[in-house]
Amino acid sequence: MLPTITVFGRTIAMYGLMITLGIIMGVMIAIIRRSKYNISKDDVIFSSCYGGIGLVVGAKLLFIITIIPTIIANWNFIMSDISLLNEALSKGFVFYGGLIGAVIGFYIYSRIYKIDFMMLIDLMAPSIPIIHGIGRMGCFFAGCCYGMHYDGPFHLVFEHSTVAPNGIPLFPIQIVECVFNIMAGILLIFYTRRQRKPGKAIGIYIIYYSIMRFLLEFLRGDISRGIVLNVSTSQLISIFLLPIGIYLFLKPKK
Amino acid sequence: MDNKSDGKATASLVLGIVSLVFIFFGTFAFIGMILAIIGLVFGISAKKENPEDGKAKAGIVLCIIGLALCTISLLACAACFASLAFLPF
Repeated sequence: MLPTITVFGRTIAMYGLMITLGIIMGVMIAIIRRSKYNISKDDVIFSSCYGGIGLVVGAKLLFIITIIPTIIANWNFIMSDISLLNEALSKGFVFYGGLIGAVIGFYIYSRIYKIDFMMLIDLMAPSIPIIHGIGRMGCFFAGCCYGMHYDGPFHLVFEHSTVAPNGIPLFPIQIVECVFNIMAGILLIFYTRRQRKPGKAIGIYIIYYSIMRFLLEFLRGDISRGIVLNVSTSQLISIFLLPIGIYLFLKPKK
Repeated sequence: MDNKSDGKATASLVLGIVSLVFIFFGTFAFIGMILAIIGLVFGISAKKENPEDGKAKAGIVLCIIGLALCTISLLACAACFASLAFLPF
């Protein structure tokens, strides 16, 4: 759709721009909501930095893990031109890796600076789907994470994408995920307007997202992603995350 | 202000400035990201030790800006495995 824009002569990737805008918005929402959680503004910003670092590292690491079999299968071809390996490693991020990495980042911050981890993660819970939803708009602009072939109402046809197949009607999965994520963020903001036990908000988010992601993966068209035991990597992680979400929701910290 | 905290604040400020330079280095922006991350850790630690430290605050702000701008200039696409499109399988 619009993979890059030019600002003052510099080309900027819309994906990176949307992710950054999403993070700024997510942190601002957390700052506005922080009073109920007794967490200072500095701690929200600083912990978000740790979370952001974890997000980038985790998303990249999971991507590298998923492409290891492909790299091994094409080892000789890649070794013939080492820049191909650099090309493969310099692109590609996986949301679930980012989510896990961000949670680890928040955990490290809470341990170093003695903050209640469950309170912190509950404060950030509505921000996560909002960041993700805005990031999905970046996918839409870049043409990545595209849907399966579909020629019903509201289908998308990419014309100049370097990622999605051009000229083929596709299911608008990026927009659907964006809407579901933003909706989750808004619902969580309303849910946490009343004081809830720590763990409830993040538990609900994990339950919601793991079910949603598991189902929406069937509508994805970018099939050259990690497949384990006949399900995608994200579906496999969803299966493992769902009981964790249920546990956090039903057995919150006293 | 003790020397240790001041050293961290200075390191954060320097790393923040250097990370901003890497915005203009294309794919080498990832070096700027790494520097900004290290600068953030130092800056946050210094600010926690001395909340009134203006140098640490400036370092954190520069590192956040550096990290954001390097990320924008580097990230092309997420979860898209387009980078593997060149492989002959």
